[in-house]
Amino acid sequence: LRRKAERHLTRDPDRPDAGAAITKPAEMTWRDYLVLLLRIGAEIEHALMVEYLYAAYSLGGERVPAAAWSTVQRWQSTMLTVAREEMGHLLTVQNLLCLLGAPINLEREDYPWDSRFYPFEFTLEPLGIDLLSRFIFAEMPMKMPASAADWEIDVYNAVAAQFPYRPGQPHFHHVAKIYSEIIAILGDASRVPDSAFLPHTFSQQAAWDEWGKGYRPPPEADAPGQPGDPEPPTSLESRVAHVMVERMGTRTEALLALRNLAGQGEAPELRTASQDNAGEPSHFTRFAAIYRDWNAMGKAFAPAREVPRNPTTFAEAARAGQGTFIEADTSRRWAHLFNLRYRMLLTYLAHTYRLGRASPDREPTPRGPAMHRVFAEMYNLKAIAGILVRLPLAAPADPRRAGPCFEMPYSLALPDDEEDCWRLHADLLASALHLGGEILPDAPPEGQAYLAGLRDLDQQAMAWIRGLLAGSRSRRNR
Amino acid sequence: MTIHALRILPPLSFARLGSAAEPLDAYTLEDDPAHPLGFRRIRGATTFLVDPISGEIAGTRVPDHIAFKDMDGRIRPVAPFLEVFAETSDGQLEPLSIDRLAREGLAVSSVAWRVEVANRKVLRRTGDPDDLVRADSGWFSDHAPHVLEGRCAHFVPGGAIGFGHVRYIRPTPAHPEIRLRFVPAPGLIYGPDHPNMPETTRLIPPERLVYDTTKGRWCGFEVQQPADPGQITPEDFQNETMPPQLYAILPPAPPWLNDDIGISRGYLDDACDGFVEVALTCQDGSRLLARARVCVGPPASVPDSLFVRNLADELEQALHGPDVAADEPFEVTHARAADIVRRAFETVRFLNAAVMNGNTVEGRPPTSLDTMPSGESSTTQRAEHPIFSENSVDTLAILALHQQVYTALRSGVAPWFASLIRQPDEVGDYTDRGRRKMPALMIGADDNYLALTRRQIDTIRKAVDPALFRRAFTDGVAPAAPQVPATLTPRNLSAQVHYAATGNPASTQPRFSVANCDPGLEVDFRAVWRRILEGIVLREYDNLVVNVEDERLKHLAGRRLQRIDGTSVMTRMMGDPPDGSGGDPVLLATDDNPEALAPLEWSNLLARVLRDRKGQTVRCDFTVDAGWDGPVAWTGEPGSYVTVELRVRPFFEESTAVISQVLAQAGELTQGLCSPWQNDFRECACYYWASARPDYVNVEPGPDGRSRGDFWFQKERTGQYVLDDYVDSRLVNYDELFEAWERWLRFQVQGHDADRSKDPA
Repeated sequence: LRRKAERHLTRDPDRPDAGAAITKPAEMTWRDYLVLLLRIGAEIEHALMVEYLYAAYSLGGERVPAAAWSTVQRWQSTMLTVAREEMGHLLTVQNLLCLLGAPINLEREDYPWDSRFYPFEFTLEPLGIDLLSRFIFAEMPMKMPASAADWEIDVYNAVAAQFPYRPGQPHFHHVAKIYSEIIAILGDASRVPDSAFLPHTFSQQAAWDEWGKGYRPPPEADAPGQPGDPEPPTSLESRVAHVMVERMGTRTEALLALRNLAGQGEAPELRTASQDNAGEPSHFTRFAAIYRDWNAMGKAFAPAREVPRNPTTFAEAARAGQGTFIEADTSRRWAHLFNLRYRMLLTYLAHTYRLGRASPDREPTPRGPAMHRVFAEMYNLKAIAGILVRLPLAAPADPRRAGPCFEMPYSLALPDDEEDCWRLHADLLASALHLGGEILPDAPPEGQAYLAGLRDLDQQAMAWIRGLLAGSRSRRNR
Repeated sequence: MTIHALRILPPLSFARLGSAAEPLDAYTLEDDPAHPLGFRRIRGATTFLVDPISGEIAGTRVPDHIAFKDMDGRIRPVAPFLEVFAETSDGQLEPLSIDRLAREGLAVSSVAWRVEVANRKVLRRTGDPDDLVRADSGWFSDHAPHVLEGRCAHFVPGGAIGFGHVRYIRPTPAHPEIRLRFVPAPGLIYGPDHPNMPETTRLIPPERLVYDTTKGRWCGFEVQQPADPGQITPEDFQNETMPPQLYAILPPAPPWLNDDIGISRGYLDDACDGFVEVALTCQDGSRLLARARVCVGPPASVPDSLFVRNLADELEQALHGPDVAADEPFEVTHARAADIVRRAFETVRFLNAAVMNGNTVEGRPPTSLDTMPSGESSTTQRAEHPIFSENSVDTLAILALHQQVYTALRSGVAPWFASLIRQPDEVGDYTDRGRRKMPALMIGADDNYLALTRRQIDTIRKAVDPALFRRAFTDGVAPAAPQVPATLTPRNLSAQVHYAATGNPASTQPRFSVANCDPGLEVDFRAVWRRILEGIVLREYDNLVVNVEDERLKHLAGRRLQRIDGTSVMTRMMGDPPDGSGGDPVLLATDDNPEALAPLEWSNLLARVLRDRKGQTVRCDFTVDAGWDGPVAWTGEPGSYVTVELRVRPFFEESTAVISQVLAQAGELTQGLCSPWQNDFRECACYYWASARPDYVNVEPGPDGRSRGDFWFQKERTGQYVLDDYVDSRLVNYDELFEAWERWLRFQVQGHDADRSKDPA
């Protein structure tokens, strides 16, 4: 989608004249163009989330000296915190698509190359100082605010110097750029009229109530070590995640949501007063703090396991230079299971938008369990990734380890019929049960313990879906 | 090696009421490796068959199936065995047996036993010492049953409550160990002899109308509401329990739906708690003594599930403090963290999450149902609203999510949800963010949202640390996990607390007793903190000094203890601003509680003090004036408080895991519970102890994607949950429960009604 979409982009946002008036393709309306940009934005949020997760999962291992454990643990906490917040961004962008009456977009290309908005080449890599620099560049403000600390400015300058703009050559981009363009178009009533906004979609949008899972700092500033702080004293980069899932019914609310989102990420000029008052560090600041610590420890410090760059279950892709094939059969089966659960996550997520949120009797609907399944699959990804990074990539004696592939399914399109959606879930569960059964005999003990529980869960979920389908048939036949 | 001390193990045992002739067989709980998310499996264990004549163990059996009721539908009592261990001069604990005695030149008759139990429930309300019901077996060395006759100064001549009997099991060559069996009472209700109150006596046969209404005031007793709040007397407040009333009253009940009128029917029960003592007279005439506690409570209705916070958690915290030792092996900490999550889903399973969330159910407003959000609304005087999004809460969905967390933990990942766990000092946080912390939907001992023990929370937090750095798998083999030493030694007090004596059902253990005591089912654990500071007596549920034991501290009576060692004992109730702005929390003040103060439970509050200052004095700040009529906010202003140094009493008796007798006399661990206990099963809703007093049973996925099942208390099982409004005729009512509790309390095994045998006659 993204490459198809970007064919329609008329200019390179990084060019020195990027501040000039925004133009759109002649064959599109402004609303249509806005939807295009939002779909690209959704893909960027999705990709960043996955890259941050991979980097976080790569951390640790027996190579890390005990003296550095707390540091590496804190770094992982930061990466996961930012990934959680990116999940909130992804949902917020979906909400905005709903508000505009556009389809949601959970797609993501596996390994896209150059792009005019995409921050950098999508890469799953163990966390290294170069990767961290790319993350920082992506989350970097267009311009550092005057209030920035000296150390932030130092990191900003050091990282910016690594990625100079060279006209006519592929180069990296700041995430802030796409949002500044989206905000400019969205805020312009002459381009996107009030009638483009569908306030009745408010109740169908994802809400923090349901998706936030409590990941929000208390309204008052959560200064580290403050009495009552649920976390142990922490550095600023690993404070409690603030998962923002904003619903919106108007242009004003949409603009505020985007400002919040961009402010949390990379655009200090868009930060709201409440974000500043809460002392909530931006993603840039969180990553910059890791960079600072890393420099202090020496750039040779290796906090990650030997997991591959762009692991893949496709030998052909590896042969084409698009990834590192997981050669070890057992590990590859775990990677397939990971991919399957990733697909299940995205399928349930897409389905929650389909299922009407509002229920006239204000009682639980199938949307609730579907939503809980999204979280359940997140936990599965965490568990399987934790196993994969400890399994061999190739021969057992080879010190290289495997890793989670995050390979996208062939399609995320949901069937038109509601019952067929549940049949799709049942199919995926059946595949998971089959694959789990294949893996279990050769799994390490923790893997066996996990798979036995997963089998119970999948069987329960299958029984639940079968009940739902039977009920649906029964109602239809009445 | 010579014997230089004795121990009775376990140090705290639970007996459980039942009228069947044959006690419940022994069983253990074990995991099903094929179905780790399923229920724990109940497996029969070595069961002793005690000869009724000789008192010896005539045989053993290992039952294939555990029947919780007999063929007549009577509940089989849980009658624990207590074993004696000898601490030898080389620091070992070994069972005291015929052979061991012989090596000391002693006979079986050198051992003597004494059992003292009491029921103080009436005394706790009336404050009249003559309402104490107490039984003392006196010392005995024979092997006959010794009946525990509970006597009371306010009983009619010859009147007594039978608390069961105890028996020194005659050791034999086949079973040479020294042990005693405690056989509890059948679970009878006793009443007053009042000739003019037939409604109070109708359900009770004449021989059990033992309370002399010309002597005591229990029949017709009512907690007096002060006519003038400015003229509150100490007596008004010492009588009050939390929750108030908690006894069988004249209809209509419950009192909170009927103008708070609670006139006692004068009922008593045959539950009790107390001490078992053993003495060994040595050849030189010296005596070695040991003591253990026993509590008698209702049956464990869900024998294959454990509550998320139970008494074993409390005892572990009292033994080892609020923090997990830094050198505890990671795998041990991680396994304990996973077990907490497992108990969380075992609790969720029996809770109708949609109802307990404060949803509108079947069109009925949530205010008409007894739930935590409803209680919160009543306390804060603000409109009730659900805790989680109404559409997202269904028991099976929430259960699956908890199970998923547990499953992920089994893969070895570190718990990632420490920030979502409610901290003990956050229980007054009624913001949406605070209300949604875990454990959710349930009540704690301080009447606020339930928090885990500090030690449980630290377990989850500490399980995080080194998980990242474990070695890679090689050839599919994981590094072996270090084993926890579970050796029974004199110093290993944890092992003693968890000791499973041969012949006992698992439900005799502290892990089967709920610990969010408000007031509790088996014990009211809050009572143990009343005398923790030497010289004063605190109220079990807040910071009022209700009495003083040291004349020099007389001036402190009626005052409020505001800080201990610099830590506030109160919190403030805060909520989201009512304008929905999501701004800073606001104080949830009411006319009755303008400072929005809420007490914090003693167990978590004192955990650090107990660890760090045991036996030492600690700085205690009290109000300068009496505070009978309500809590007083801490200002810290000079002159607003007085400081007194008080000594922190040891929680356990010297070198043992026995809760100190100074902290709780016989009968005091159960004195805050309902009288009779059956009343509690009717009145306490499921946000108290879902996996002990269940709510939602026979649960299956329904055709609409929602769960369906029965309310535990509905008489006819239909699969259609009957909402508990206390008056629906489809539900078991008070009198039915008083009259035939063994019929209506249906055991749940594997989440379903276990025993469909015929009702008791």
